[in-house]
Amino acid sequence: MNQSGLLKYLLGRMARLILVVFGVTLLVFFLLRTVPGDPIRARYGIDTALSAEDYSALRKEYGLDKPVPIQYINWLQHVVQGDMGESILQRRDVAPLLWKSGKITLQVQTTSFVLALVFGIAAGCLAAVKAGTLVDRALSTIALAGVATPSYFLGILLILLFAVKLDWLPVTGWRPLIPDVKEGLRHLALPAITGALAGPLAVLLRYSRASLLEVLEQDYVRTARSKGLSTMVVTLRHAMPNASVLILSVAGLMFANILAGSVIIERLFSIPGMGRLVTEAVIQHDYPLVQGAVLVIAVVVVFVNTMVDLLYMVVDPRIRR
Amino acid sequence: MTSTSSLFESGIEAVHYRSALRQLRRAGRACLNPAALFVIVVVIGATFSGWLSGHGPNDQNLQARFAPPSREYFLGTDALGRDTFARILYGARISLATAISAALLSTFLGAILGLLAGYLGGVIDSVVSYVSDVVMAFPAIIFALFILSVFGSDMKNVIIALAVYGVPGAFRVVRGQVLVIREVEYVKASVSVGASPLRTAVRHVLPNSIAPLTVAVPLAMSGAVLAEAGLSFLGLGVRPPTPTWGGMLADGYAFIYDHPRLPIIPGIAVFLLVLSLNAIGDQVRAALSHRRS
Repeated sequence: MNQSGLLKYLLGRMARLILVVFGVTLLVFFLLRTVPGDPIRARYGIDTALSAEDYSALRKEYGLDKPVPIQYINWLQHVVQGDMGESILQRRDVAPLLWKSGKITLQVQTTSFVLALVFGIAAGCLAAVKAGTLVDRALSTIALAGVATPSYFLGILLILLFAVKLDWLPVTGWRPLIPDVKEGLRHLALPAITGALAGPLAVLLRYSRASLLEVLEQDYVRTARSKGLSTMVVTLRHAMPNASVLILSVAGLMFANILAGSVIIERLFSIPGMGRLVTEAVIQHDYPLVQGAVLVIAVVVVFVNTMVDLLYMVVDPRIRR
Repeated sequence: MTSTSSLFESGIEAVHYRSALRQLRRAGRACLNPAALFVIVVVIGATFSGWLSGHGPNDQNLQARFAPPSREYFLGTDALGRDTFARILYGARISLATAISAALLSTFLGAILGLLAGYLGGVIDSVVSYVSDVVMAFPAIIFALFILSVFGSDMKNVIIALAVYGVPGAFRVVRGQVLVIREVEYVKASVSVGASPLRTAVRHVLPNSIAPLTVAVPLAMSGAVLAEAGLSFLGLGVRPPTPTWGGMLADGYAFIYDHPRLPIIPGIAVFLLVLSLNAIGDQVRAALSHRRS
């Protein structure tokens, strides 16, 4: 692919990215307004005597008196200017609320993702190199079990072992990494390990094993071996680059998966992250907060998928043509 | 249409359907193993739960709260003295019913949309692919949460939420397959002898897209079991007191210090069912790829 072709491709990807995010916000906006219930009533409670004038004044304050399409355009205009509005229930700006909880979710999920990536790919490669041996069979069995273990079950098992029986780690709760790094890591450990082990790590293990195994059977690898290169060099220098295309695509999918899993992990470990924030916001009809959160999540998911597509081209020069 | 062309065509068809049938038979043979047996046991347990358990799932025996496993209570009782074994059996009904309905519904809708989009292409393809991208960019649980808060939490709506979310996955599989099959000679032959697009799509393209779907159905079911239990764990699924495995996990989590059995038993149930369904999916896949090579 020449320079202008590449540019055109990138622009096309960007346009698609923006279109999908736009579609997601549109869907959320209209879905929210079909949900029976009303954020103003949710805020003041149904029993509280809220006079009809006060009620309509509040609706007007949040722009809820206008037709839904106009509300959407207003919201879009503000978002483009970096203003996501004010949470109706928490009466605070949406952006800092999301930033505060998003940071926590990002710490947990990134740690999970890195753990899954490193150990999943390493174990997958080990299983492929030792294909057919006891090591391979043990790892493949663990992977099969890992894919089938839901995070809410694995988390409970880990809590039982490390927090209840051994008393090494706290059961639930959250401490920031700064200033107390040690306490922070102790609180991060179980949720991050649960997020990695329940699914993503096992899926990455299976895919890396399968794709590396396929590559290892090819002629050029046999040639490399016959030159007398060590298994290590053959695997890492010759086979891995070709196996990494599939692994990469699965890794991108896993990131989105881990993000969706944060809702359960945060409930299980009582972590004040974005998954919990958005669940509560949907239940309480907090329109601006849900809209903001879903926008952020959709941007992250679509962005990661686009990055994965672009990374393909770096990893596999054939796709560039 | 002349008699030769219809003869020609029916000859091709027979091969297709026969090969599709052969694939299914092979897949069926691959299912005779522990995984399939476990699924059969769960189905029997769910069907005859009243007869097998001896206790109602919501019968409380406050004299026997947190009773350990015994002859009376095979898996012990929970905080309200309800029989865990009975609740597991009744919970299996919810898990199986949502899994089967959601998986079949999403696969069916996904297949139709995939066939349409892949075969017709153009604007229809662009629109359906775009909508499927949008749904996929939505976090699964939040999507389900929306649907459940719009229509209320009952089993029908849990099924709808999981099915709608599963459609894009099935859609992509079928669309990809259709794009390949569309270019194969026998399809071109069918078009060239004057068969209508509908006839070509239904009689030639569809039967040949069945293979990847037979792998997709058990996997969609295991995904639905996980998702349903996850929703119930969060308190968003089928409402209590109806027993669900996810709900039992969440209830039992509160007693993790003194009665770890309570969350572990339903957890094992989810784990084994998902493991079995995944194993069946893997075996079907292996049987099909064996056929291809």
